[in-house]
Amino acid sequence: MTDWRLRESTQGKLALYKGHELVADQVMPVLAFPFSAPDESISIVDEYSKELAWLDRLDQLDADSQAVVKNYLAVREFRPTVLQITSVSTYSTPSIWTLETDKGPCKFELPTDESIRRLGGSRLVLTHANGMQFIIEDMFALDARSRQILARFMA
Amino acid sequence: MKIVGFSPSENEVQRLSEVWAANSPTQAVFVADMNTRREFSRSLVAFNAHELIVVDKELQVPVFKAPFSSIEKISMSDHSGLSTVLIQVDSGQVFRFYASFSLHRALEEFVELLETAVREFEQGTAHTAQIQHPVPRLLADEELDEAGFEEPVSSRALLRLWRFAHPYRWRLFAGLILTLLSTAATLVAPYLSMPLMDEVLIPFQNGQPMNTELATFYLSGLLISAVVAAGLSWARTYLLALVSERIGSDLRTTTFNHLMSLSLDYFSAKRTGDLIARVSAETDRINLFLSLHALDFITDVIMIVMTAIILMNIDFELALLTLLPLPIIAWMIHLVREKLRTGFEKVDRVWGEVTNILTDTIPGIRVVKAFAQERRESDRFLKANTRNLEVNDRINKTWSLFAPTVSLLTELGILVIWASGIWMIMNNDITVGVLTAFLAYIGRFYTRLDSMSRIVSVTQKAAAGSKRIFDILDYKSSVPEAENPVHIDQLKGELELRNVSFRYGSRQVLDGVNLKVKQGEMVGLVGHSGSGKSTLVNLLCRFYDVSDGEVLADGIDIRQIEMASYRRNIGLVLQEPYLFFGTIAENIAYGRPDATREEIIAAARLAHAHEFILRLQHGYDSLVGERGQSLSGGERQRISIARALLIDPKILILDEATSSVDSQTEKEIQKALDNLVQGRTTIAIAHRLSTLRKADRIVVMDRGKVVEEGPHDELLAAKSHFWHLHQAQEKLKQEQAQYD
Repeated sequence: MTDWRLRESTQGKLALYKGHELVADQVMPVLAFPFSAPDESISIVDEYSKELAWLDRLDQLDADSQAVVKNYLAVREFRPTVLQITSVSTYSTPSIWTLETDKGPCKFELPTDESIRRLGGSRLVLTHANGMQFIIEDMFALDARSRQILARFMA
Repeated sequence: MKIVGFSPSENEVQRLSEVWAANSPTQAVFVADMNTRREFSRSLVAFNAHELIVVDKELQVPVFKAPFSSIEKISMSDHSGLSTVLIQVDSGQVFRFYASFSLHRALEEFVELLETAVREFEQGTAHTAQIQHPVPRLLADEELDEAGFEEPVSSRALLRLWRFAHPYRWRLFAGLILTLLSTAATLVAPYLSMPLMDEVLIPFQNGQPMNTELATFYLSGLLISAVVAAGLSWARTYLLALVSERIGSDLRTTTFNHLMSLSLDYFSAKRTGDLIARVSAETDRINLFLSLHALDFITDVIMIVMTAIILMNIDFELALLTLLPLPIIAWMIHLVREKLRTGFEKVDRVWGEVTNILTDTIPGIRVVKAFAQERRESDRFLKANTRNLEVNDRINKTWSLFAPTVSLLTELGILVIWASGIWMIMNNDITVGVLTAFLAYIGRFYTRLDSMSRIVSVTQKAAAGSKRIFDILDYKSSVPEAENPVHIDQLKGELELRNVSFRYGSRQVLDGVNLKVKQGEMVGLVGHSGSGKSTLVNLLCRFYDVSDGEVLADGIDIRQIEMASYRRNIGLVLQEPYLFFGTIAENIAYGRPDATREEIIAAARLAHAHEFILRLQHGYDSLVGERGQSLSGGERQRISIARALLIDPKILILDEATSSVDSQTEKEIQKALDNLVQGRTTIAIAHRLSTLRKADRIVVMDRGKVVEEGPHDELLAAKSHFWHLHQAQEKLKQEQAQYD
């Protein structure tokens, strides 16, 4: 447990307290390893990207701070999980896919083959032409059709 | 009512008019592709003259409602493709709504309208949106389904090669005629075997004397047909091979030329190994396919059609029996086709992986060795190779089953002919000669089918290759040449950035930069790394186009200027000078290959490179290696300065030209640069601030914005951004001095 505390602040940023003393009111949490350790290694930086605090694990914070940080990261690290690849416009890139995600169905444009990145194991991250990222937690756990589509774009 | 982005449905418009507290019509609507819970859905954001509301698709009531009087602040941000608009109201509450980054333009526009509306509400002036904005083309739209996208890759990808075959169409046509004739000639021989059997051999066997005259006639017929067939076949093979070689060569050249015309962002997104493989290996594969396999295939088809016609003419019933296995084999071929196609695409990708490791490791060999990671690189290579094996093994499994099955079917087909032939001879329906002819024909027939089945794999490979090539050819440069570009001989050298923004993906790199550089002025760009200096330079060189705003040279938007003529006016000296393989003289004259020896030497002298070049064994004729490895960093830099001097550019861009060398070398380079800068508009990015003493003006950048500008001393006196940077460096220098 640390004595760092975070609360909502203005402009969508957070305020950082040490105990009850305000340290800075325009801070944001940043994940050092967004893919490999999303609940660990969190840096609290100010608006000039200067590190003010470091948290080894999210659960070092009190419950309220955790909720605030989680809420902030949900936007900053917005990465819907792909549940199913419903259809695909073409097997050459750029290709438009229809996805079923944990955030509802959506269209996805795969700009190049390289936009599919292996995160180690069977985890993948797909990068949409607009920069949005989609996670496939386990490519082998997808249904046959989705796997078939994926396989056409991967080595 | 102003609609920003997508159009709302009639229902939605209706609902909007119902939710307004005050009876005031909707002024602007934005249809977001996400709801307020950050799910892919739809939500409406709208305002009238008094308030802002957000309506989710699933909910009947507005999720959020804020009278303009309570809105304190509106701000917008985007992260990983998600744009967020934040509304802060006077109770301290914060509300957010979202849209995917694809909509950010429309969203920005909407937020601007909203801000104006709120401002005008406070000032008490009524607002009516009148500006007509173009509706952006967006991806999440339903219309997308109808938008014309490419068909999936199939052998049809090969048809697109016609564009390259077109110039040779007459030669191709002649080749086709020759193919027809030579195939016809080869089919004469089995036909002659029929009368040879029925009129010569069988009568002789039945006790009649040998008809030598007729035998000689048929035998010479066989000889002549064989000779003619050979001659025609030679002519056709030669002609078509000649043509296909040219098509392949054109293809390679066009691909390379197109690649050269593409903007830098294409190269930064692709891996070198993959691109090299595409231009070299894939074009070669297509070439081989055209000159060998496609040619054989066409011959085969002609052969089969002709054989079928001849067989039908000789005996219809037997012909039908003979052709029976054909559809079965055709179906089999189709079956394996699918499997092989995806398989071969996979092979290509895995192969790309293997070459990527090569292009990654070999240039980085020093790092590999220094960190003693040879084993790890070997393992990586082994892994890619094993993967290659695996994928190939999987294909070969299907593939190896394919050929024996075709052979088996062939044997069965011949058995069918034997059986039915014997039966028909027993019933006196056909003669022995007819059966002989059928067997002779069918032998060829099936060997052709067999080799045709082989075409499947090569066609698929070539189609995959063709797809990969057209992937390049279809890619439009994101820095396109204007339709009627302005040609420029010599610029005066005035530069202006007007409200320039640049985004890389969803990352905002430059944000509303304004900068004016007068003719002949030297401007130094400073700032932390990542502050957008290099991006600014990339925009000035038009390696990328601005996302917003404009870059003007001599008052003309550089997007309107003919690219080559514009860049001819720019001299670029980079931090890591690239020397091409060739002599030093060739490298200096890279921008102007027609430069005389005197000009080259003059440029080298000005660049303070002349003397060290003379010290080299072969002087200006010395070869510099792949990356000029025999020269030091400072020497290479001075060659690249000479290169820039030789084209005598009006605009000079120095991108950290001195930061990768020691301070002694820096002084020499600095002397060379001083010569270069004279009389030119210069933009210099420098890490060491001392090199910018001579700059007329210094521009300080921070996180994509210009935060300070003015003469060196003035900025120092201001004790702001520049002063901080300066202090930090001075401190470093003092520490250095102490150490020395």
